[in-house]
Amino acid sequence: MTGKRILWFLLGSACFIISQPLLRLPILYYLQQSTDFLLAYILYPLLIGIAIAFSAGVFEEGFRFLFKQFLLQPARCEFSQPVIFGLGHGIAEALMILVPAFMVLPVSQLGLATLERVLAIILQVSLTVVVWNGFQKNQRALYLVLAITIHGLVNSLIPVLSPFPDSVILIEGALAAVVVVMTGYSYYSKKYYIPGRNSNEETRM
Amino acid sequence: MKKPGCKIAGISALAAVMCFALLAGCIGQQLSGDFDEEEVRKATENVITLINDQDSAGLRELSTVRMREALTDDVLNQIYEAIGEGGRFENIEDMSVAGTTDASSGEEFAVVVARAKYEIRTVTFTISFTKQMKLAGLYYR
Repeated sequence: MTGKRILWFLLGSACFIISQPLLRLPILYYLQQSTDFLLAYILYPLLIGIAIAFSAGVFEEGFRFLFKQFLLQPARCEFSQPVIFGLGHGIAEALMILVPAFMVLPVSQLGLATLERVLAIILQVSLTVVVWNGFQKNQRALYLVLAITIHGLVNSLIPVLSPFPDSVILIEGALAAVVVVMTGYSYYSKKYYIPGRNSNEETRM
Repeated sequence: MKKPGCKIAGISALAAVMCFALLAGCIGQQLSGDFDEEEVRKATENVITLINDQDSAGLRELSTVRMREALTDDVLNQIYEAIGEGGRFENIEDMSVAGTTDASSGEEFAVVVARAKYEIRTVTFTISFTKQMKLAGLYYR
């Protein structure tokens, strides 16, 4: 991995850390202290659940956009940039969720959680590709809204499907289906990017 | 090139604010005219006082028939024990009131969420009342 690729990975991780643990989660925690919020959640669990799901999309995709806009110029880039940035984002998220779980539960009980995180990492890579596509095609706002919508809808699977029997299988199955479609879309998007350079060319940069 | 980016960033920030404004609970359903909000608030304070005083007879007297059946001595003792672990009652920090209608029966209820501060921890009560101001639901965490 070259220095620039390591930087993309670290920026991806930083993007997750800023958008979620440093911003969105404290705001959510603050809201949960409010009796107005708790009352609304009791009366309208599905609506509030979906709003919470979409807030993740707004924060994560919004910050992905800001990172690309201000820290990862020029706009036109190689396909590997969103892939590596998305890996950094997804792996940081997986570590934040799985490390505490591995400390209290045996590995044998975390098979499904690990599989879900693998799917989530692939989804994070695909969502990064969506945001980056806006920069390649000069339709930034459109692709940002698209990424927020996809992210919000995927997260909404939890409040929407939780009341059903076998909800875990339904949620994970739906997530897997979305990941398959998004991976296909990402592969299709390669044509929008500058062709990748080989390692000799990179050395000359 | 930077101007459109800043504009989109502004739109994203606005979307985030709108998202959380929605979450902030600006959507509470108003109490119907059959309820007096002040009376609901006072009844909530009374229920919390009865729990703090471990007044089982008082709680049952306030309750609907169904709730009275559910509030057995065992259940009430569990509630008193759990609340007692929080230490001495200090005050009610915050309270929100809204109305809701049971989908199956069509009956209207007042629902209250109240945060009560105790010496060691804060307990959030969710309490509901019928139109006759009978205690119809009690949940705490």
